[in-house]
Amino acid sequence: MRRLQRTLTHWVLPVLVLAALVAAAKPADIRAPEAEPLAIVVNRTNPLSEISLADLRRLYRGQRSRWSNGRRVTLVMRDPGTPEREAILQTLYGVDEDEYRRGFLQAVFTGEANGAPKVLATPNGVLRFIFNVPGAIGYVRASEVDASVKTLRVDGHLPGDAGYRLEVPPQ
Amino acid sequence: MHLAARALCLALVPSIAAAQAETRYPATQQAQPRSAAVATPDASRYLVVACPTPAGTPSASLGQPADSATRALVAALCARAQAPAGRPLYAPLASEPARPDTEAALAAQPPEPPEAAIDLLMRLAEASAATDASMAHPARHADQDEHGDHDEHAHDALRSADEKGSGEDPDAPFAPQFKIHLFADMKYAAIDTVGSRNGFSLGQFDLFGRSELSDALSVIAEATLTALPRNTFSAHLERLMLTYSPTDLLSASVGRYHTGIGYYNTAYHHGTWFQTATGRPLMYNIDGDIGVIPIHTLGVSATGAVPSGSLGLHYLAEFGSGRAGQASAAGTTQPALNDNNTPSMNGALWIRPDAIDGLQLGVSLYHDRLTFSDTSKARNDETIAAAHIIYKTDVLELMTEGMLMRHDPRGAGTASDSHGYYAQASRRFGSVRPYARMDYLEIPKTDPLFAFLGRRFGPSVGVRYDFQPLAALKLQTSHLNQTTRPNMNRFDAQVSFMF
Repeated sequence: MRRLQRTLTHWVLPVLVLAALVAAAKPADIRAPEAEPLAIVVNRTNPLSEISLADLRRLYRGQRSRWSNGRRVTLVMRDPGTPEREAILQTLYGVDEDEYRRGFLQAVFTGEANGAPKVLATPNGVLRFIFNVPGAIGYVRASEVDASVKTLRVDGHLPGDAGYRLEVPPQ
Repeated sequence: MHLAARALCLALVPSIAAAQAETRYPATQQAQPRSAAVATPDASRYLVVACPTPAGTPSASLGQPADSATRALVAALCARAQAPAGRPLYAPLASEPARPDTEAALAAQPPEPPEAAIDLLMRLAEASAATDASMAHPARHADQDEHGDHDEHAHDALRSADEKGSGEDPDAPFAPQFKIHLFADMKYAAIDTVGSRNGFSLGQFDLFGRSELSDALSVIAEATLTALPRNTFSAHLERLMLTYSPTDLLSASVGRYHTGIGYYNTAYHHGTWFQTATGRPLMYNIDGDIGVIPIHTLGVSATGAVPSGSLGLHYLAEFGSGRAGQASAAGTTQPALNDNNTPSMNGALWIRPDAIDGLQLGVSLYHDRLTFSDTSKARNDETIAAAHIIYKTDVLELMTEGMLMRHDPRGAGTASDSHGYYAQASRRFGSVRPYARMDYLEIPKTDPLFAFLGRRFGPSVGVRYDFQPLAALKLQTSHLNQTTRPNMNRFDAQVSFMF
């Protein structure tokens, strides 16, 4: 009994304390840079001002192809490899680039999706395209949004609000 | 006429300048311009100019050469926008103001645009809608990326966004653009049954195309070339569908399509690159592999979403020709022409609940009336019921389907019930995806069409390696127990790709 107590005192307890200290220190030491919200933007004539994450998934997966005003949805994506695109693939599609490509091609092949998204290289390109295309929807960093497009609330939250779920690593 | 156009254009300049003086982009936001020449409700056009920051240099919109005349125009318009209201905004057409040489001089100039600038304004205002859309966006600056306005994609396969179809210029007339994808596969097969030959073979060459005829009308066409023994090929028009999709609730098609029985038959078809395994499950074999399901239908179909909230309910209704008249065996299951008077009907429902991303549950019911080349045989009612559970995520793929097929001679004998199922599981580790599948198909001896197949079942295991984004190598070994033929073991190595 005494031996067990000594073992606990000399070995187990210090190890637990050390582990607790390491665990407590770890977040401060390797804390990831604060993520930046990713804004979902549409043309300003779009009657929608709020969308659920589930509906956003349906839109981006090609399962929903029309807006409430009957206009066809035109998806806008950033170039492969961009953090914004990675964030969308992860959040809305739940897949990586290869699976996304295969899945979308298959959706087109089966007739479920109307066509591939418009792929644009820069945030400016995204904003410009959405500005020009009434049925377009895309995404840019919240800091890159300007007044030429409309930012949608997602599940009731605007970018930067607590509970907003679309985020991208800082540039 | 030309003078009138000039006057109209000049008349619009003050409204732009005044709007820009209030906020940064109000005029462009309200009018939704699509190009340099912006349509207004009264069908007139005006030009949007991005004024530079105070520290910046006045410049033309990107996509246009920033010659001195352009800079002069931009500087004049921006200076006018920042000027107090009430100043004259344009000069009489007949006037001929002096032209400054420098931008500094421009800033000090009266705001009337010089004649050369007016000419430029007219030229831009009358430019076609095909002008670089960058000119329309107010936030665009010449020093920003020069590639931002393209729709380039690293992979051509995904670069199929139809400019017209996407609505980038919705007022422009539709011009059909046929997008083609090609699929192909080659394989090496080693089979241990007597009479089988091991070796390489071409698989199926699949030409798939899609075209947008209008915002709601599209065409899908798919043709295949399949390699046969003795260096021959069979050509088939597998699909040809004209589809009208006015809303998400209805997508109506006419033509030849994949029958919506179960899941696999519509999710995977001729492009083997899409499939995880080298081939289709036994119950969904195509005619060349002695399939039992009428995998194609010639007729009309309607599908769409049912408003059901988080349940994600969808429906499908098909009315077509079904199996060919004179159906005597599997080889006649896909008619190119409707040659009997007994249409087939098929209905399906499936859900994709939001609560479990990647899950799909569905059922389908197919009915047809069969006639036979052997006229002594009674006509049969054919009913095929199928159900599926699919769970697919980025990593995991779990698929299982069951099918019950009844052939009922309508009082001339007892009905025969065939059934089949398969279960397939795979998990992805990077580019490698090992998989396993169990197949089962049982056809009773009393079945009027497929009795010769008997019972067939067995496992398949394999691995798929996506060595390139659009190409995969699959290695698969299978064992098949058969009651009407010798059991079989086989190994397949297949390269499948799309381009």
